[in-house]
Amino acid sequence: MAKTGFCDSKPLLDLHKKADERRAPLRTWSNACGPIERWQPVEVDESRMAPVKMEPEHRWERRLSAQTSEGILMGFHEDSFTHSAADGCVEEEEEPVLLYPHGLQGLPSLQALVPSLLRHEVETALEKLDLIWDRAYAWDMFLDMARTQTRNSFPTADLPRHFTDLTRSVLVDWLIQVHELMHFQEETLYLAIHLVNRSLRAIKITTVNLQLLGMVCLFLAAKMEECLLPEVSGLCFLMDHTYTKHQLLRMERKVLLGLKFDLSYCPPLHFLLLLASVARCSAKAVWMARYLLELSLLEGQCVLFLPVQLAGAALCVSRQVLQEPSTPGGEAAWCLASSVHVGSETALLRIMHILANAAAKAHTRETCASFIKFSSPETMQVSRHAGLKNAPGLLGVCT
Amino acid sequence: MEDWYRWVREAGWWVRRCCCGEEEDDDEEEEGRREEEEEEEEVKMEELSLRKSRSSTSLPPAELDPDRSGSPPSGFQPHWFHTLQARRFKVQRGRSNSDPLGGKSCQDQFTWKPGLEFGAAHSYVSLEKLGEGAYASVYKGVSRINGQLVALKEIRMKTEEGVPFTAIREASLLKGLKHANIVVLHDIIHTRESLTLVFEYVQTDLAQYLSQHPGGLHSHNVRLFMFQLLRALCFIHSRRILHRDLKPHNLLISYLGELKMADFGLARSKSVPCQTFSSDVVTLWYRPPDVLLGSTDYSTALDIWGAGCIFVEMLQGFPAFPGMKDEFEQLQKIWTVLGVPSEDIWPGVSQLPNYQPDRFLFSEPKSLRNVWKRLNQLPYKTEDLVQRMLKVLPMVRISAQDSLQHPYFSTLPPPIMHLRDTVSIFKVPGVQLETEVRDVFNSGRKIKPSLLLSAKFW
Repeated sequence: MAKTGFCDSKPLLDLHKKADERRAPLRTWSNACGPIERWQPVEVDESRMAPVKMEPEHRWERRLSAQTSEGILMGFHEDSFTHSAADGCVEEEEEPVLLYPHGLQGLPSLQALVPSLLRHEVETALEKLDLIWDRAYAWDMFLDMARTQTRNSFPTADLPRHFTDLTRSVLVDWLIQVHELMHFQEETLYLAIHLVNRSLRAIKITTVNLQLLGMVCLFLAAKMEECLLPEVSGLCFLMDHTYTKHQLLRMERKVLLGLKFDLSYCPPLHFLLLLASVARCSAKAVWMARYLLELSLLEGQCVLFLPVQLAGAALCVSRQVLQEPSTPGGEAAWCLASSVHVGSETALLRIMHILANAAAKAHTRETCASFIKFSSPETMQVSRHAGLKNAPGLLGVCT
Repeated sequence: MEDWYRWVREAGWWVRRCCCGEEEDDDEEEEGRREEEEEEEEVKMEELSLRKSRSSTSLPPAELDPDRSGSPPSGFQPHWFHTLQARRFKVQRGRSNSDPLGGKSCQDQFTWKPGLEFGAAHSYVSLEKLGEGAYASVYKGVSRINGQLVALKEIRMKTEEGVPFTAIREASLLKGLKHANIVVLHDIIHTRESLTLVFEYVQTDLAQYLSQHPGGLHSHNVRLFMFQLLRALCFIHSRRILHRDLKPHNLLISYLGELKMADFGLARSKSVPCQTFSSDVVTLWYRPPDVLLGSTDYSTALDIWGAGCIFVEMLQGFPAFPGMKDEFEQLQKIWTVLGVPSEDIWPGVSQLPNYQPDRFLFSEPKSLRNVWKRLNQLPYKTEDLVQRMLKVLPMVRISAQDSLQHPYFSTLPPPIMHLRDTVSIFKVPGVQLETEVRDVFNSGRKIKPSLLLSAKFW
């Protein structure tokens, strides 16, 4: 696959460049892409988008349908997506298609090349990010990520009635601080918050025990991800000994039982790094996207979306805020990256709005741990970027 | 740093104030705790519906024990559980199923009660100890829900750290791994003092099978076992999981010949990029040279080496590289067969922590068929596959995916290549185990069965 030369990104990117009158090639792609039955018109009202100056995201839906009609990317279609998210099972049909990637025999047409180019890019990115061991499995792993993430979103954003989004965000904000203090991996934080979200829905938690629950989820996440574990007594100390060790361990048991010992999660961070790598984003854009992604943890509404959607939206906002000079090559890479994205444009825009609003208000809120964390020089001070203050305006809609 | 701690703790206080309303409702707090205590008692988990449906058909509870059914009140159960715990350790090894608890006093424990649930300790009765692992003991048991045999892996709880992370990872990984060649996790019982993973019971394991059929296995059976092993590896590798502790003990063999990979206590999924595992992950004999040399850059090649060693062991009847003492002796065993690697063959080898050429006796790579005589009697493709799996350099070791396509497996019926993950290869017509030529139970030379039993290790 990697040696055919057809998959080499360079010639193809040049190909895009030739036709590239900003977004022109996209149209040709989607038109060229075979059966049109599954092509769906973009549901978003065009007039709402007028101020946005036709950014690449507009094409996502079209690109997506193009992909689905190809049948190369597994259930990357909205319907099958909600379906698999609902029952958590995996469609079997995709397997044979993936065993025999097509498009490499005979004269390759452009439409056949897109999926293989994407595949090549994704494999390279995974390898570069050291998320895999063996290139031979890269694509399988990517598909597995895409598949498992469908179990990671929630049908509703409703919390049990005695909790509000505000209490939850206060808890998450505190966990972000504890997480930073412990020098844990980023993945641990995302897993911990995911466990909090699930536990709040799966088990009965009294308001007094909310903090304990948060700490236990972080502890469990560390047990899954970290090499060095914190001591239970240390955790109790961080909670000012409000709860005893015994209570903490009992809560651990309760959470494990409530979640049925299933702690698997595909963090949006991995998708973010993957997309950024495919899209050749600058370091600053990636840091800003990471900041936005972390802000998404505080937003109760964000549990509705898939990790890949959150990652895609964070990257979109970050690109729009930074407004880095675009090169044709960069544009083409971005188009390719956006074809990884799953879901409708409406969902994407919704997340973008949530994130932009969160970023605009971050410094004024009481829950500002992420803002402080990302204002350090190591993170390129992305949270202090002036553009973030009017990010919602950039998106063209004020909410 | 001090400040940071204080700051986080203060923030924690703030969290409590904001979300918990600490000051106002002390009463509620008390109530909350009491409530929790109560919930404690009912520890339950929900289950595999398949089994549930069977429970009513296979063993109608009322018929088995009419006078006892429904009699023990639920308040009695925790106490009952304690007695079972204590008794477990009194069970003598080797006791047969017919008298598992060694006394009529505990007969009531065999009551087939209605309303037994998955996830509850009293739904299982342990019969005999099968083995002792690094962090768990394994018992053969029977489910009181449907009468099925199960393997109960009882994990020692550390009071200081709560549930051991190995157990959490194993349970969490196995929940997501549904494959015909991976052991099935039926249920998890988690109570105040213990954590028990309930697995399907599989008759034997490869180590026991090898000792029962000394001198190498039937070449057809070796092929079937290897195919299943590689199939399981291919499955977990494509899900970003390494087993990391492959050895015959961890490969369970059913009476049909189904191979099931077990013991994922050391397995982990590759979610953390910068990850260094502790160095004693794989039992020395099955540990690849790169890890022995101190490399922490683990990859799927780690499991492939282990599989290669097991391949040779199945053919030959004895371990491929049985080092006795330490890493150096283990390495020397490998070098005598495969040759000491030089910087030309393996760029960067001299940078590895344990690379000390002066301690290695020089040796040339040998032809494998001269080292392991059984390869001489078999077609060339067998040796070829062994060779590809036992490459010193991890980067060039064959992947599980590619090895399944190797000509070595071409004599198997073609449909075997296209099975769904959860379908056993024995569902394919014409696939079955051959009778082993040598069997210690059926031949003139008898080995004491007690010796064999002691080899059982789960």
